[in-house]
Amino acid sequence: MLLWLLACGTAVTEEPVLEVPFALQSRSFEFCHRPGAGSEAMAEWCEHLDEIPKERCPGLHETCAGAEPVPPSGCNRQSGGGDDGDKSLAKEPEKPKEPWSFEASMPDMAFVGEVLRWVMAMMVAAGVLVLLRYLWARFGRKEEEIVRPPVIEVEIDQEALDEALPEVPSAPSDDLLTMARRALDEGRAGDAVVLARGAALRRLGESGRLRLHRSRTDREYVVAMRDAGSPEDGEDADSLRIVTAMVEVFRFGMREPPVEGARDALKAAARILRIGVCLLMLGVSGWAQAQTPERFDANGDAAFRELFDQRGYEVSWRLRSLDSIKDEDADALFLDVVGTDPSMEEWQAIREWVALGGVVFAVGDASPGFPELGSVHASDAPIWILAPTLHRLGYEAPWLPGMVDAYVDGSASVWVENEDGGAVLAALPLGDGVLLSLADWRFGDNASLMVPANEALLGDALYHGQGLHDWPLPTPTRVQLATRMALSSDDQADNPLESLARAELLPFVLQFLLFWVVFALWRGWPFGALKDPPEEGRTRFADHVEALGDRYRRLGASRHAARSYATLWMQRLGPKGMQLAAVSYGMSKERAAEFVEELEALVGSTGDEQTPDSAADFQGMEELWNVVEHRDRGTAS
Amino acid sequence: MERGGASGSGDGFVSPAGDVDVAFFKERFDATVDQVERVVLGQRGVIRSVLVALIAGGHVLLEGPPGIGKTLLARSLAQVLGVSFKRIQFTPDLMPSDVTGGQVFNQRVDDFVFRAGPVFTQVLLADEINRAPAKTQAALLEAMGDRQVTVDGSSMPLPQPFFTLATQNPVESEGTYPLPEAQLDRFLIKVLVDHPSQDVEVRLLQSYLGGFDASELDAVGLVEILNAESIAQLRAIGRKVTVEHDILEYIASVVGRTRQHPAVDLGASPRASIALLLASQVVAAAEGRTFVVPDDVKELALPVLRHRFMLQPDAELEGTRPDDVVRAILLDVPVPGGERGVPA
Repeated sequence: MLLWLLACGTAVTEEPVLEVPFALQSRSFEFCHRPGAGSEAMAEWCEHLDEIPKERCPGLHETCAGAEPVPPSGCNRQSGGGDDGDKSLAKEPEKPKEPWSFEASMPDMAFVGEVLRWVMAMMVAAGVLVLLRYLWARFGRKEEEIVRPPVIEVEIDQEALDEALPEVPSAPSDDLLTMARRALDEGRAGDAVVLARGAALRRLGESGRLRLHRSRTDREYVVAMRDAGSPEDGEDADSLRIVTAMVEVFRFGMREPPVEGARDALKAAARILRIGVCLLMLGVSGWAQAQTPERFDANGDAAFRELFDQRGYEVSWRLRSLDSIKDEDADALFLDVVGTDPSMEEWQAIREWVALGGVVFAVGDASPGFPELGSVHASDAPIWILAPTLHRLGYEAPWLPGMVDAYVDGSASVWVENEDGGAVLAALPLGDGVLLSLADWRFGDNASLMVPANEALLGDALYHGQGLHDWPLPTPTRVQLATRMALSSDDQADNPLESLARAELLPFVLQFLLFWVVFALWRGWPFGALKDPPEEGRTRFADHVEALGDRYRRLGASRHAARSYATLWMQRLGPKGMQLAAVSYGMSKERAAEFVEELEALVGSTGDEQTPDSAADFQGMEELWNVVEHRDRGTAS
Repeated sequence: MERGGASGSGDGFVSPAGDVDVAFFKERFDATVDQVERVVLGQRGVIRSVLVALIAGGHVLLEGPPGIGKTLLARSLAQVLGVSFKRIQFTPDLMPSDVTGGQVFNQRVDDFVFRAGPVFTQVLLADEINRAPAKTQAALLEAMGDRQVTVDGSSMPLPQPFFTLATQNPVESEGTYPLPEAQLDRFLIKVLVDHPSQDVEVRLLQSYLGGFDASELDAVGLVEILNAESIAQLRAIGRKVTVEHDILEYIASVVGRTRQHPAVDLGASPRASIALLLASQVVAAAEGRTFVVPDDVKELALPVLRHRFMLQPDAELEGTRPDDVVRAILLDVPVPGGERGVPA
């Protein structure tokens, strides 16, 4: 595990930089670049190697040529080292490294997640009980109202400082760092350090190592990390200081930071992110899923971000649920239908959003939400026919290995169809918006973009819709990617109740509360006023008894008191009842019998003697009291 | 750079402070503080604040119990700065002319001549200013504000630089005349000084054992680091420190919040914003920076603002202090930081 983590933190490789970037350019897409990676999943592609240029996916060619299968390296290497990119043509791929000598795979987070759910449920139940207790105590008893003058207080609630920081961009940290590197390559050192700052702060904030707040300065964040005490925090504080120092020069010094300083800042931010990534992988699984290695697999989704980003769109991952989609979120939504599996409520929300002017590019069967598309069936006609416009523009037909699903009976305008006339790619206007539907769900996987024709058509579809069909897309266009991995990584609820409902803990919590109610009723209701408050008369009697006992003590009449007390209870319970009560109290049978004999002897003694106060008399009275009291309590319950 | 921002005196574009300038500034500033700290132990923060105010062209109000070295601070500072020093002990019977001076009949020349008061100095220690009646306080405060004294229609400028270090005991003391709030505004900063820690006190005792005598400051051998000319030079460098527009907005927001806070009856005036700006520039230069960062503003917010607004009576009775209000404001106002969202 440690070696695997080290692999996380140390891998920095150069990337082949082509003059024409493509979506799978990054070496993180190992199925494309690393010989032997994902050999099983890529087997079906080997028959079509001629149509996949070797310079795009050199690793695939070697895999199909028989390269030895290698396990995934297991770390997110989305971008290269951040140094000046080599502008020359791509180099020959490096020889594959020797695989690790032991299996290193992602730790199973399911158990940890389950334990966390139970802990959360217990805590919620405890919190509800405490709240009920407080409410009963607060409102169940009437307190005299004390009229006080209004007090103007200055509250400094340190606990209320946790807040989303508007200056820290909402994009994932790795994306921000990638953008920072790109900015630096383009000569925008100032933007680069600002983005690096955002990446570092966001990662530190998400991992709980920093409290981000609008009133805290960067230097205060550094000091807070240093004060945290651990060596790791100290190192990260130094890295953060490097980043923020450059930001200060740019932001407040109003001058571009030096390139070397900006480069150091990006490296420092990368150090924070690498450590953060590895810590997160050991920590809460939810956050760790945001940028996991699986997203770069053949059936992952990371390439689509690159695809739309290279087209000049403003790309972001959709992290919230689909039923909360609004105009403010995006102009276009790339929807992986199979991966996200929208519910009917979500389809309804998407449909309404489209009708109001949204553009949805759905990959997979979107007919549940848009019945106008018609029913779906598989086709054995692999030949694709492009719409005349696309053909004129020089696009080639998209394809995938194997059979392809197709829509029929739709009222959509067909862009790509197969020989059966099934609409494989169709545009369905609805209200002010448009649904662009691509039937085969496999187009939502990274592997589909190995084919240049697929990348070209998927990447340019929105552009053509905007230019040729007047789709309501502004420039620049904000594109949100709604995929299985994006939505599962940070499924935020709008409010705590919704979060609780989604966690499906409500039935458990209700059952837990019911159990506590039954238990409280059985053992005694712990809330509110006393069940049997002493009446004034009984209180007076208790006081009288106490005074009487005290008088007896002063008079030296403890034996008399003991005798009277024993006589009273022996008359009430009788010898057998007293013995049973003594056993119930915890005495052994022999001791209980002996106890009864002592009481009988005491009862039978004459009352004339005045013995001095004896500790034994008091001890006897106390023991009898305990037996009787225990019996009374048992009777009452 | 196209961003809005300012540096310099505001009467036109002034070239911003260069790295060489601020390096010189920082070196002299640190050396001055180190020298004064040789005799005033354990009060480095106070010494820094006082020096910042002096270089920024303001005056300082020191509040603290007697016997903690306020007079020694002023004397040693004057010695290290190579400027003249005078002290006025304010008493209830002190007259304005005892401060500013006045016309005195000189029998030799058979005419009235002006005898300058102790205010005609470069570093003035006004001890226990709240013990004198309002009229006497006003005489000093007017001199502080105008940097000149007018007696019988004749105005006489005070020497430059003119810096007043006023002290006062906490207002709970009996027999005091609290400074009016409008007059408190004339002090750039108000510094609260407390008793030294035990460690510092032990060091103090050791220094006395070693022969130190506060009344014989010359024997300590304080090095003169600055003079009037170099103080003016430092002041000019400080004024050239770059202040980005968002920092100006931040300063204005912080001061503005004092006018909106529910616990405040009368908020700070724009003079407070100016004071915060000037002091922030000096602090930035003292740290060797050519630009102000929000931390500089936050560091100075308390000493600059704590004496410049009035609390509601209810809040004051409940124990709310001005420092609490300022801290609450600092925790609420967003600081300028990275760019909002993703740069285009």
